[in-house]
Amino acid sequence: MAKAGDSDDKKGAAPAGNPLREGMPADRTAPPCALVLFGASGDLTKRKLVPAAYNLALSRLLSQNSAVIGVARRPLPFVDQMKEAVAKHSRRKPIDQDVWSDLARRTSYVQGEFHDPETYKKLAAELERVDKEHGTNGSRLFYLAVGPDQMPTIVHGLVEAGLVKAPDRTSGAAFQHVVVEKPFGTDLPSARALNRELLSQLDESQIYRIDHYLGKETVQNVIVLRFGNTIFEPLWNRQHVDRVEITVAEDLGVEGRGKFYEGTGITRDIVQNHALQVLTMIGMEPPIAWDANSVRDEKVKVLRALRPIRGEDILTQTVRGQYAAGSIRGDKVPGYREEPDVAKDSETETFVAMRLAIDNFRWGGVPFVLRSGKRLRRRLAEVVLHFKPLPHRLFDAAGGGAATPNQLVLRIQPDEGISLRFGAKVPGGGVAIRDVAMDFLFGAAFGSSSPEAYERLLLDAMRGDATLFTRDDEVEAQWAFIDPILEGWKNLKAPLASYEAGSWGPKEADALLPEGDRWREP
Amino acid sequence: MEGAVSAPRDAATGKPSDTVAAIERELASIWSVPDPSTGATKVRASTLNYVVATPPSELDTLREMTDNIAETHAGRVLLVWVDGRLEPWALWHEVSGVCRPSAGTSVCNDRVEIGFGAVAAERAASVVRSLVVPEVPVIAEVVAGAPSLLVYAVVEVADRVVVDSRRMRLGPIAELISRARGPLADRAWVRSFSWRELVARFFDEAPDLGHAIERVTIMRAKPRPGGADPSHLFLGWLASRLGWSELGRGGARRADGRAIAVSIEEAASAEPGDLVAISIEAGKGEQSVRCEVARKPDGDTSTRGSVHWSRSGGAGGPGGAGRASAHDMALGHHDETWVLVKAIEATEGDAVYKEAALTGAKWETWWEQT
Repeated sequence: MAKAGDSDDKKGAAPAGNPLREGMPADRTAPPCALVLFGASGDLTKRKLVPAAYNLALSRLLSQNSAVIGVARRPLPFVDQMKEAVAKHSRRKPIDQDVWSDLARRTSYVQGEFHDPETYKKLAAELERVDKEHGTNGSRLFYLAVGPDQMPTIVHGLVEAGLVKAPDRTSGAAFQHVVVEKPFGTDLPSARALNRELLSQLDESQIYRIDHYLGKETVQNVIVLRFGNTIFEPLWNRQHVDRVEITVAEDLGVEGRGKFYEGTGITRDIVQNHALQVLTMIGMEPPIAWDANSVRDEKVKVLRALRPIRGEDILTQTVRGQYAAGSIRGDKVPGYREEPDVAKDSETETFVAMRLAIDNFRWGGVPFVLRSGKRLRRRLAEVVLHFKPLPHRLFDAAGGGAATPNQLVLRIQPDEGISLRFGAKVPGGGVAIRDVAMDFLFGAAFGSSSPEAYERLLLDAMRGDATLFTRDDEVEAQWAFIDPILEGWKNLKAPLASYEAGSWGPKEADALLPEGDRWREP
Repeated sequence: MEGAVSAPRDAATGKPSDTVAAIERELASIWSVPDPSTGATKVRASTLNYVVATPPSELDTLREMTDNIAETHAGRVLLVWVDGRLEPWALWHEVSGVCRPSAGTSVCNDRVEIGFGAVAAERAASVVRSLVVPEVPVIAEVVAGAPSLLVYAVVEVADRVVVDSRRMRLGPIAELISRARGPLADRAWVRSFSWRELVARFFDEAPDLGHAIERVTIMRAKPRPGGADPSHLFLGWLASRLGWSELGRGGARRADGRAIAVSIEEAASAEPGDLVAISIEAGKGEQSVRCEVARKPDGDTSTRGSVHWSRSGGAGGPGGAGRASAHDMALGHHDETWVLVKAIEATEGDAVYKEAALTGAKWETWWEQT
């Protein structure tokens, strides 16, 4: 059964010339399609993808002509597992039985090896069945929740079985989109090779490289804050900003993923994707339109303007570290080398700090300092614009005290919000100044139940909106910046600083800041 | 919602400004102490002022609804009414704060309830204007049955006015449109969005057919006492979008001068004020199409259950317009909080509603006169 008149919050697009469509909101609902989850038995499917599909259904954003098909190697009671996953991980509880039953009725499972052509024959038959039974009309969203080594095999299998066709850009035509999970490669050559593989089978418009950070409301709000207001953008440049500080911190360790982490490290896991995405949002010029290519063009320009860190600069512009045992929230936690599946002499970094420069007119001379780590004091992602100090301390002579330069803090997680710090006069005689903050909390203004990033991104991929996905040149530009640093650490035998779990990282990172400045300890 | 705190009841027969001052003091006392249930500092959530002019009989329903919308649209709520039991110049008030834990603090919003004596109601606009939180919009809802003195007072201070034509006729709504400084939103308009969207779908592939409508038949339940006929608002929308003129009981005239037959039929089984079926015939001869949206038996209100959508006839029509097709469509499950949120957010835009309501009001008048 199709869904009528579901209105979300966008106005506008309507079939041209129909006067009855005037004023009606554009339909934010996903068009009918089959969501095919490769890696159906995996953690991501359980924790994020299936709850996201359920929440879209609950919000009536998933077409009632949609279907969900899991694909994995093992025999699996997929529908039962889905229900368990929704009950455990959905942001909205308890399960709405009507919505769940309806979704379960449209859910099925295909077992098979990803390299086996028989798997794709079975999948084709299942897709044909759901086309007929549920009206998915040949439209599919293939979600590859698998490692990068398996992606070319799956895409090849899909194309060989005729399950992905050349894109038809006619309005309302069937679509086949492929969502590719991170990590997208492990370095520039592997990312390029993966891009080449995918683009030999698919059109770029069919590939949706996901970075779930971009699905976060607060990351998107960086763009709205900058380009949806008039007061911030005039200050958003080297004339007024002294430095930009980006923190992506986790209080967790490797959580049983020691083997994975040994081959990855925080730079590949967080900085190459999430942290650089945040940096591009902060640094980009205004796009000419809010569409996929206009936005991504501007982000790529920032990545290309990042001054490469090479040679001996790697030793002065970056710091890598590894956590030692310590305490977090009152609990004693082991050091990284004491974690399971981690080598006793591991050189893998669990902390990285960098001093970056964006060589363009807007940001010339403004340091961007970035840090990311595991087992830091608290889970936190934030961007802070430190504004320039006063040119003349007018109130010092009158006992005004030392008001610190203004700061604009964009908190991405948790406690999402924006805070502007400024000096205010302390009531009473004289002109004593004290720092105060104007705080905006998303939860206070809009309630606490924002959609999960994966809900937004699944919906966008179904609707064919790639604005919040990474383009091929973007992911390659990210790796092109990161690769020489990783290479340099190895070649130069860069020191691996130790930091106590529960701290804000090694003290060596302080050297990356301008003299007299300190990292924030929020 | 947790941690409701109430200030003591206050009554005043003096100047309204005394009552305003008392309310301000009580608000200040609510905000100056930590949330007693958590001990956390209170953070005020102020995204809007929601001012409701209501008869006293609706207060309990409104209190529940304002608690619900505070989850996503927190701000100051002012419920105002005229209480015939009070002395003519008396004002009764109550102030409360409602908090919920968030990010280590208590996010709170406040609610002020004011009952006006019959004469004191003349000062309602001034009182409300003194108490709204500045810098955020004032959304005023006018509940059917509220005295016009109070209604005009809140409309005067509102940036946006919400009405419900299921319980209020289109004539008075047209009057409010002319008085209000901001746009009007109509809960009934929000509830009936799916019906308009489904009718618009008939013409997506052949917009010209919209200008070739020959006959419109609307089946609806009997309107609620004091409420508008939902068919009038629907016809107002069609007429204003398609440029119809000479609206009346017998029908209307298309932009090309041809007559359109309009009939309105009554269904006994549905909820009062609900649409039940809409049938439209457009084009002539082989090109003609018949389109119908009809509620299925599982639907009990405008926003629940499902409808059957069908288009037939007109083989070979322009742009495939005549393609026969039929679907069952879910209307979804919406409660009144959802309806109010959509009315506040102007999801469908305001200009189209304004034209539909004004045209519908004309239809309402002519329908009764002829």
